[in-house]
Amino acid sequence: MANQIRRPQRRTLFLVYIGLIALLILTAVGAYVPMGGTPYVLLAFGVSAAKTALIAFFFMEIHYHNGITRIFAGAGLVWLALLFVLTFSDYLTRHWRF
Amino acid sequence: MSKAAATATLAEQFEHPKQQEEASSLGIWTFLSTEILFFGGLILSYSVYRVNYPEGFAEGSRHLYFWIGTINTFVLLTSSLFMALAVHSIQDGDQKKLRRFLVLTFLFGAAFLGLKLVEYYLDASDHLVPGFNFDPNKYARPHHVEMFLFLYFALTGLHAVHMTLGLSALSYLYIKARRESFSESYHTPVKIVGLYWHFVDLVWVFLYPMLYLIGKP
Repeated sequence: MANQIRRPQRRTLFLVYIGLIALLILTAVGAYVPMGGTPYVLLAFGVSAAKTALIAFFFMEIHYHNGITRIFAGAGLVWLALLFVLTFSDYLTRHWRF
Repeated sequence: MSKAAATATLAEQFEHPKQQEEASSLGIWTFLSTEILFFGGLILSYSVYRVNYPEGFAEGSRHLYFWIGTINTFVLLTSSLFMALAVHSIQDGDQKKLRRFLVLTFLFGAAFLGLKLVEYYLDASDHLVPGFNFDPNKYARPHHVEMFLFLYFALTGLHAVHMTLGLSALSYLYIKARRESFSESYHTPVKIVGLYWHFVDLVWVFLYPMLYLIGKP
């Protein structure tokens, strides 16, 4: 029991790293492709989200933690979401006229 | 590891090592949750200003050193790989590899900070520091550019402070690792510092597009 550590294999860590670098190259090269502001911003932050998923799951091994720890980690994201949603529900609707 | 050695690292309030490790894990994730909100406040300010003044922010972003930011992202992602490998090595009980990967993580972290300092020096030479030598005459929207640059220094500065703390924690781990304080069955501190290190890496993963990429296309 004690000897069975749940963790990604060493090879997986290297593959994840290659994935992270590939994503970085995608954003860096994408910066020189004229594609318009909005698509590029979406690409850049989409890449950030993908990198986050790779780091959180394979380097930080969030899914191997117990339930209470995952709830605590998730709580940070929930409050961050509240912070953004409530603030922008003000700033983005100020010019609305009914 | 013998039972006696396992109990030597077990604090008296815990029943067994697994419980101790879970408590430490919960502790660091609680801390990281507050860190999400710590950076979140600044990132929110950035987002509000960026939505209101997109042209000024794009203009400011174009004055930063894109390639230094990109190389630094590469350096930091690499240091995170080494940190993950350090945890992996001690889980196999390999002391030598643990020390090697801790040193590599430290060196890449230090390289990141070194490059950041070079970049700050270049930024200052370009008169980009608000309240110090910012030159408003060069820009179409000087006030918005200045606000962008203020947030740039606040965000990267706070991140650099976190990197410095991370490097101190790595030095502490290295000293402990030289005394062979960690083993297959006890390496919680290595994991905890690892989680912190990956988190600081994650923050940079978002700062990079926010600061260096928005003005590009």
